This record gives sequence, C-alpha cells and structure tokens, in this order.
Amino acid sequence: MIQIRGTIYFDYGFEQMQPFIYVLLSTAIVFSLLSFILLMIGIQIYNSLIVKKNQVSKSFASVDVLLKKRWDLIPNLVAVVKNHMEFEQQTLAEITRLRSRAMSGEISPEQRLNVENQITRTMGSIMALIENYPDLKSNNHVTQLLESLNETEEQISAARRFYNSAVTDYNNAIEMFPSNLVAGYMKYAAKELFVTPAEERANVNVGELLN
Amino acid sequence: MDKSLSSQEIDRLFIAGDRNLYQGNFPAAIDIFEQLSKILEPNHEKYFHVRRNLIKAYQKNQQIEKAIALCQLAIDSENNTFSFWGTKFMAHLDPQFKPEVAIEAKDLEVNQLKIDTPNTPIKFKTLSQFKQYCQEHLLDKLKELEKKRIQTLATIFISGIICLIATWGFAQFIFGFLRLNNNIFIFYLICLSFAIPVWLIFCRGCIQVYGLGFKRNIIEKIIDFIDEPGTLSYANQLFLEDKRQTILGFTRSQIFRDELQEPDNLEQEDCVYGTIGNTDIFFAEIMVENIKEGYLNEFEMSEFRGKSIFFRGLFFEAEFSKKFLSRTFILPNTFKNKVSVLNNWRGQNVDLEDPEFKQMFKVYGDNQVESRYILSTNLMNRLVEFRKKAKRQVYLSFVDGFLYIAIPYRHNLFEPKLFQKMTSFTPLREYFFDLQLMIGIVDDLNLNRRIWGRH
Repeated sequence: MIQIRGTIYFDYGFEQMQPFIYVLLSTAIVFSLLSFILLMIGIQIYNSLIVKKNQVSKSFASVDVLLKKRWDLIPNLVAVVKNHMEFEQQTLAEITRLRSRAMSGEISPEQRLNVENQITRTMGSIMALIENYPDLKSNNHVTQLLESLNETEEQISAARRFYNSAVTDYNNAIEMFPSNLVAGYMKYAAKELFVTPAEERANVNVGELLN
Repeated sequence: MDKSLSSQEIDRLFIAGDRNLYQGNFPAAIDIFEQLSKILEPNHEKYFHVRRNLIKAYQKNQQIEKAIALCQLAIDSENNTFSFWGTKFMAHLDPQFKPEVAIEAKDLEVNQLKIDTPNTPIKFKTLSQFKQYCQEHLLDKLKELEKKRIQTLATIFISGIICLIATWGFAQFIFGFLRLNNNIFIFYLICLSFAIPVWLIFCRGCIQVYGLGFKRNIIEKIIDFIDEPGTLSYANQLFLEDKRQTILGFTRSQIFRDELQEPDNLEQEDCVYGTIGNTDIFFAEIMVENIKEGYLNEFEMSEFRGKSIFFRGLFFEAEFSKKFLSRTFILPNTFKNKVSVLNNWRGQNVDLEDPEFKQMFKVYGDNQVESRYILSTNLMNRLVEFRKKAKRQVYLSFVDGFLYIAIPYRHNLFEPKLFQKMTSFTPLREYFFDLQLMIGIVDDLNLNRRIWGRH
C-alpha cells in the first residue's frame, strides 16, 4: 500500500506483470496463427491427396471402359474372320479364351492387366494376319471393324497415358515433403504405372507373324 | 446466251460460279462455267480459270468422264500453263493416266513431271526449286510489276508535289482575295490539312490497283507451284456469304474466346481452299476487330465508336482425321495461358508427357482421355517440329471434328512492298515460306492418315 498526498494506492504488481502478459498474449496469438496456417496447409494437402487418388481411380475407370469396348468388338472380329482364316484357328481360339478370362472377374487386377496385354498382342497378330487374305481385306465389314479396333486401341493408349499421368502425380505427392507426412498418416501407398511388357517393347517381327 | 457479254458481266458470272464451287453447290457452278466456257474466246484472260474451275466442278460432282474429257482438251491446249496444269490434274483424276504418251510433243519441263496419285500429299519444295521456278516463270511478270511499281511510286510522288503546289496556289489566291492580315503560312497549313487526306485516299487507290495485279500474277502462281496436284484454289477476296463461313469457323474454333461470342468484325483476304489428299482445307489471312460503341454522356448526345485489332494473321481450318466430341486447346506456353483461372472456360489443364512439347505449349481440354487421343505422341512431335518451323506463336484448337490453327502476325501478309524492288528475291521468299507453311500443315500434322472410322 502506497500513500501519495493523502491518496491511498493499492499496488497489485500489474505494472511489473504487463510485459509478461504482452509476451504471453503475443506468443498465444502467433502460436494460434501458426496452428491455423498449419491446419489449413494440412487440410489442403489432405484434400489434394484425395483429389489425386480419385483422379487415379477415374483414369483407371476410363481404361476399363475402353477395354470393355474392345471386348465387345472381339466376338465380331472372330466371327468375321474365322471362315477365312482356317490356318489360324489357334490364334482365334486363343483370343476368345483370353477375352473370357478377362471378363470372368475371378482374376486379380495385376493378372487382368497381364491378360489385357496378351489380348493387345494377339489382336496385333490377327490384324497382321488379315493382310494375308485379300478377300478379307476388301470386305467392307472387316474394314469397318478394323477401323473401330484401331480407334479403340488408340483410345486405350490415350487412357493409359492419362492413367500414367494421374499415377505419376499421385506418386510424386505421396513421396514429396510435406505431403508424404499426410500420406503416411492416411496410409497411402505408391501405385504402379502401366508399363509396356518386354515382349511388346521388342521390335515386331512381321515376317514371323506372316509365316 | 448472248455472246457479247461485257467484261463486268463475265466477272460477275465468274464470281458467282466460283462461289458456288466453293460452297459445294456443284450443279449451279457447272451451269455457270459451261455457259462461260461457251462464250469466252481461248485468248480471254478468264478462259483458263473458267475451264479449270469447270473441270474441278465436274470432278466434285462425280462427273469424272466429263472432267477427264475436258482435262484431255486442256492437255492438248497450246497454252503451256494450261496444258501443264491439265497434265497434273489428269493424274489426279485418273491414276492410270500415263503422261509420257500424252505429252510426247510437249516441252521438256512437262516431260519431267512426276505424277501424283490422288492421295499423294503435296511435296515439300525447296528454296532452290522455288528460285528456279521464279526465274523460269515469274521473272517476266516481276519485271512488269517492277515497272508498275515505279509508275505507282512516280504517280504518288508527282501527285504529292502537285497537291502541295496546288494547295499553295489556292491558299495564296484566297489569301489575296480575302485580303487577310494573318500569316499566310498558317493559312496554307490549314488548306493542306484538307488536301492531304484527299491525296492519301488517292495514294491508297493507286497502291490497291498495284496490289491486285500483284496478287493475281504472283501469289496465285506461287500457290500453283506449291500445289503440284492442282487441287487448291486461290481467291484474293471471298464474298459476303463466304466471309460468314469464316466468321462461323473462327467462332466455332474458340481459339481466343468462347463460342458464344462472335467477332464484331472480320476481314479476310488471300483465301486458299481445296483438298489435299483426303483432307479439305481452308486458310486465309484474317483480321478480327473488336468494336466499342456507346454514348459519352448520360444524355445520349455524343456517340463514340472505337476499333481495336483482336487478332491478325493466318487462320487455318481442316477436317481432323479422328472423331472426337470434346474440345481441346493447344496454346503457346505464355504466362497468361498458364494461369488456369483465366482459362477455366477452356476446360481442364491437360498435363502431357513430352517435355519439349510441354515447354512450348499449354493444353486445356474438356476430356482428359480424348485430349490425349487427339494428341498422340506422334502428333506432339509433329507439333513441336511445326512450331520450330513456323518460328511463331501457334494456337490450335480441336472442336467438332475440325482442327483450327491461328498464327498471329503483326503485319499484313502477301502484300507487295512498294519501297522494295520487285525483282528482289527476299519478299518472294517470305511469301513462299508462309504459303508453304500453311499448305504443308496437312503433311506436317499427317492429317491424311485415315486408319480410324471418321463417320
């Protein structure tokens, strides 16, 4: 208690405490701001990871739709060429078998990818073999069918490129700092790209196909 | 029909026929060209053009036999240029045609021809080939044009001096007549401000007349040289209905803005159209303007009208070989084109794999798969090469089964340079380069490749 000119003042020690309160308040504000910013960044990373994961699923679905479109074309192709290609019945039987296997739904995604790659290769062989049969080549129906198949193959290739681009984006995000922290928390794992099988990468021996 | 048609009526009929041919109204075009070919003498300046268009119209209308018969007449013609064109076009009409038999008696140049099959794309011509062609076929015309250029320059120069002297005389007369006390020089300047615009209009007319002769004689010949199968046509200026087609094409392309917005004003010149291999193409030099109109104050008393150039350059349109439903835009990789917010209306950003392509272009599209279907790795390589060849910004769009290309230029193309010698090779090389660049797009981007069903 202090008495100055007859007035009594109570000293609670506020003046000594003031700097401390300021520091405390400032720290609290800075801390909450930082936490808010960090939270925002976290939400942003979380959302972008979800977007990237969904983009991968969407791109895979586009590949799937086109692969199914190709399945629909295969029976037509087999029906048209089977009467002409007596010597290649084995190839035709092979593609029918592969199609049924891909459609069965009993195989894992990796196995399915493998089967689809085999279908691509066998289709390529059939298209090359058709060159041996002038009757078939001049058939309007076959020409239209080949055009559709070529178109579908190109679309499949485009969809695969889209898938690969989406997967690369996603894989980059889950491996790069700081998004890898959020991805680790969400238990996201890297996904595989569509790669060309070694057999497809080798130069095509047209002579062998036509013999 | 009356044999004594005036040259204006002949021109009018020719224009009508040409328009019908361009718009795909072949029977009407045949009617007009048949009438014209009956009344025109072989030495008439339009005779060759009429016969050429008639053959094209027959061919387009599936009257191949008639086209072949007329083409044979063209080959037998005494006019070397017509005969040369006839031989080339005959090979286009009839792949079995052997030129050696038909042109035994023709000059060496024709004997050395290599005949293209109908689907053969236009072959790339080298600069040395073009130089040789200029020396053999264009030199006389160039010399004539050089004379005209000097005449035009002299006319402009002399008329300018006359204008200055006459205005001075007029100013002195009025000054003396009115007994003015002001400075005569200021009065002279006021008179000049009225005289100079009239002189400028006169100069513009002189330059336009000179330009017309230049385009007919030089630009058309350069196109004929590049277009060996003779399947393209050139028109210095097309007509209102055709301009409407270009406006629609430019709007549909959405290269620069949404389809909903038609350009306020579009001017076109140097139009080239026809078929290369299996692909129909059209390109022209266009200028698109924005017009701003309104009132300066709220009482709607004073109006204002301002024009600004929105796009100037070459605009190319061709059917694309693949079928697709969505839109894809390929823009130069500039800061403005990189900002997604500004390009939201073009669709999503399509991130492609080719690093060199990514460095040059930014791609937007409605559908990620379809954009990649259009932009195969092969097409990306070709676009990179095309961009390097053009040495300019290139804008492309794929909309409604068509490919549109816009290449901006700052100056007016294919115009004669009044202050440059016509016999100099430099401006010719420029015209040749620009025309070959546009005509070569079909080959450069492989638009003739048809392994997909288009219909």
